Amino acid sequence: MQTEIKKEVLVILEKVVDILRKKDIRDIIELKHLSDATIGNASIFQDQDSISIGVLVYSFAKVLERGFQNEKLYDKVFKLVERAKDSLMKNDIDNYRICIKDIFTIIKQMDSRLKMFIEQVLDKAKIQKGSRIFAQGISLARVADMLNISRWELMNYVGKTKIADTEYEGIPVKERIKLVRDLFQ
Amino acid sequence: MKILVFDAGPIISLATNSMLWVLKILKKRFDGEFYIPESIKYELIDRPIEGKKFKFEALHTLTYLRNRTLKVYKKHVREDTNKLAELINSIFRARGQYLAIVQLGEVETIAVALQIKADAVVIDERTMRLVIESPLVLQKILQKKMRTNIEINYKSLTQFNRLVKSLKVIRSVDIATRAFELGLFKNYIPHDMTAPKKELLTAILWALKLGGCSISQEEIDDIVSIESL
Repeated sequence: MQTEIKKEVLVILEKVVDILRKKDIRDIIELKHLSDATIGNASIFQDQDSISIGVLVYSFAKVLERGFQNEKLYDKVFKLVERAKDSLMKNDIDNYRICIKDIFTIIKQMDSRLKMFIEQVLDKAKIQKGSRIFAQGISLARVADMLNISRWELMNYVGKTKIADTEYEGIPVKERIKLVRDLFQ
Repeated sequence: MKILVFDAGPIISLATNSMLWVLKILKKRFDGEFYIPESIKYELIDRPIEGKKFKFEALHTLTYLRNRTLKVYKKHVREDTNKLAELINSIFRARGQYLAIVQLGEVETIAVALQIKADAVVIDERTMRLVIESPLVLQKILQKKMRTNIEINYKSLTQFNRLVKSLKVIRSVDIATRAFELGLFKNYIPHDMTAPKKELLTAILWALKLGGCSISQEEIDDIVSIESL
């Protein structure tokens, strides 16, 4: 893991530990914002660590937003986040990644009645993070590959946002219309 | 023979808006072939067919392969694709790192188009289109969004420019606009509205935009105004 990625992930983990310790539902919004903090690195380095921490924090925020009440699992996640943070501080990257994987597993098992919801949350988290990376200028196809989601899903989501609405100084519309007129006479 | 090569994007935009039928009619007018690369077929059909999401859209798209509106390009382009991908993904650099901005599948679309000397490629994606048409605009976008300096490797850019200089790019919205001009959408004209044709064209373009085709609101307004409706 590159130093700047590690630094950024550590900042996020420290904040997440703080938020989870307080158990204040109002902090969920902060958690969601926090999940975007690694997008810059995710776009440039396209590493799984920057991507997975974003997806993880966003998914967990969504699950909490729904009013998740299982104290035992909440404590488990909290302990694992702390362990992940400590491992990263000690530069034990393997253990850090194991902790992150375990947190994902717990989120997936949080409530069997919510299974469908949690799957949707994880998908939504990937799509949401993917759209943020796309907004930085990386192609949709590349983002879909990075996050292992389909272009069908990503295009459908991005199309309904203003993300692709950037100023565009490419070929003028008139020229492109002339081209299609020539092609389909 | 005239040839168009499609990336996955425009097929997705058209399919999610139930507009693939337009391609079948336009192909007759085009009097040539519409190709998709193998990896694009995987993205469009083979992968979604395995799951639940977009399975129907994939099956629907498959019918356009069966009726030969779209054909899969089967010739070998792996090396050309890798070479092109390497070039594109070494044009921009941020914080000492080359930016991998495109994916192999979409690059394969370009590789096929170059190999087959296509009349145009159909790409709805902003990034790939900008790399081909206006790489300096893409540099500005990357710089602004990533909030970091983006260097250009002019050696890669020049090499890439040389390869794609004659390649023309169109989008699903351009195809739909032409279909509209040719009267393919005439059954949809809302005659009871004040400016029925304008309403219809605007609706078509917005539907494709919302389906993921990269087009700005200004460009939609420009097209509607060019069509003088």
